[in-house]
Amino acid sequence: MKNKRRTHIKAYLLILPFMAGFTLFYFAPYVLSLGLSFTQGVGNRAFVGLNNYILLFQSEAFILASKNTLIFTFTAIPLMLIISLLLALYLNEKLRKIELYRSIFIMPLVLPTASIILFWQIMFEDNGITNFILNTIGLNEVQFLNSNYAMLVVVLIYIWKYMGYSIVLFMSGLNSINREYYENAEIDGATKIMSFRKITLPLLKPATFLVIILSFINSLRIFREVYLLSGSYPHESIYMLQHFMNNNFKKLNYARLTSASTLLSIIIIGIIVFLYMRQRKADVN
Amino acid sequence: MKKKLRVTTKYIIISLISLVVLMPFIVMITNSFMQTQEIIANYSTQSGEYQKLSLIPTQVTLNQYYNVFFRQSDYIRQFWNSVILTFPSVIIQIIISFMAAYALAKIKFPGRNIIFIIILIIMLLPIQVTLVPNFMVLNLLNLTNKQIGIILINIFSPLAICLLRQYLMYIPDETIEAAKIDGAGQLHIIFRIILPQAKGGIAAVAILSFIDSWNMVEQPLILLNDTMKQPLSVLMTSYNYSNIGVAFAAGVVFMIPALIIFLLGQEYIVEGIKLYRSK
Repeated sequence: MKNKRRTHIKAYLLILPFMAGFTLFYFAPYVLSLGLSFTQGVGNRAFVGLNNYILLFQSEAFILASKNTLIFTFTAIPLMLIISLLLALYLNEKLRKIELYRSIFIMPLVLPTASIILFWQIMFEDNGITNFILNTIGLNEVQFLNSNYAMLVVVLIYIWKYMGYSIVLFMSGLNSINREYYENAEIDGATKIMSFRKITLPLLKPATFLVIILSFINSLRIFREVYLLSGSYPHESIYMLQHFMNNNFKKLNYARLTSASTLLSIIIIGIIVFLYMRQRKADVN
Repeated sequence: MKKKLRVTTKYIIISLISLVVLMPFIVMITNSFMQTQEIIANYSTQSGEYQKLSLIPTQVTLNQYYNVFFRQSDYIRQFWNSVILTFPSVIIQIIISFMAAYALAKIKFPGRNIIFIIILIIMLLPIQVTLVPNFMVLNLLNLTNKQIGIILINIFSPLAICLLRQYLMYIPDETIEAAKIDGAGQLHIIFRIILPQAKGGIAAVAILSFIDSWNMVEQPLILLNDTMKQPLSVLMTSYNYSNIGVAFAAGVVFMIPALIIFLLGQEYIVEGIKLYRSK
């Protein structure tokens, strides 16, 4: 009994330094910000119910930022899934030097965005390489960074940058599938496409689930690339949620900040829980 | 014969894709060895002229690097800011998170699950959300516009502890039980039994955490108003506009620490990514 208590105390001591800082800088102010999102005023704060949220939805900047972020997420994630699954399947086919190729695909994760952004600028500026190529083959030039095409550029950079995560996860998922399944299917006369649909895809579900969640989390980090590419005031098609937040940090608009961050947390946790439940349900079946 | 042809095509295709993926890197490196004048000639884009992307310098020179190190007094300071904001926080974060992760993974105590769930939820939230509470506290403590503020926030960020806990869960309990029977104390267990087995996980998490800090943009942008204190990850692009003649070398120098870590630790990065499984 006494022994058990001593173990507990040791556990608390081990966890104390982290929990103290975590509570101070993350947890406590986070809970506070949830509460603040229902109040207004400086110093003497008054409870205003859902008023901040209503104002948030009336803000054009917020609507634009949410819309763009959604468009980005729903374009980038499916593309990411397809491209990285194809590459993982390709690499998995007993190629020699797999590790070398895999390393190449992981490398963009490590390269600082700040360094590489120069390359993207050279490629996509008005007088950039891509327009030079378009012009040479007789097509019209495009203002890539100052038109709706900007979103396309950002999706491309995102996939280039974060592909490594998904490829590693898909490859490890593919590796865990028993080879015998394929051999048996082949004996039964199944074509390659059939075994892909009946064996690979269903057994790859856990990996796919993980790739979706991670791509989703990473997709919210795209602000970095957008900011470095076109600063605080980008073309309106790539005005992202973080741009909106930055503006309100500058104005110290706590009502906006706390209500936007609360809303965002609810949506994100909701999506993740939803995906998790579906995954669990699929596991049970 | 036919099979051989197919295998060869496969290698050609995958090599081409790899080349495309590596292109930004290759361009940065080769261009960094060009004369400053050559760069300016290639990339200054006046009146409808296109930029000239050339892969091979007409003359290989360290001219740009010389300029970066000896003619750009700001650059060294900005680089140093990146170092200050990254290395101390990664080291302290790993130590503190490792201790806590060990308790969460291997010791049963009341409140363990609820603590972990809270950490997990905050970990899943994106930076747009967590910066709000971070900012509120730093403002309260008068730590905005100070580098220590960002360091503190990075130390206690929840990703490292979640991944380390995940890694420690894979270490079998039997090894710990056996040591306990031999009369080993908790500290002995941590340093002599767990630590050697957890080296790979610690390396993996440290690398991921380093990449995160070395690349950070949002935190310094909001928490440091003073450009003198901001790291290169935010300020690098100013060279692209105002000083293209040294921008390539400036970018490459900033990549070097990340590249060294990549070359030494790519196996760990793969392990680190796999830690996201079964979370």
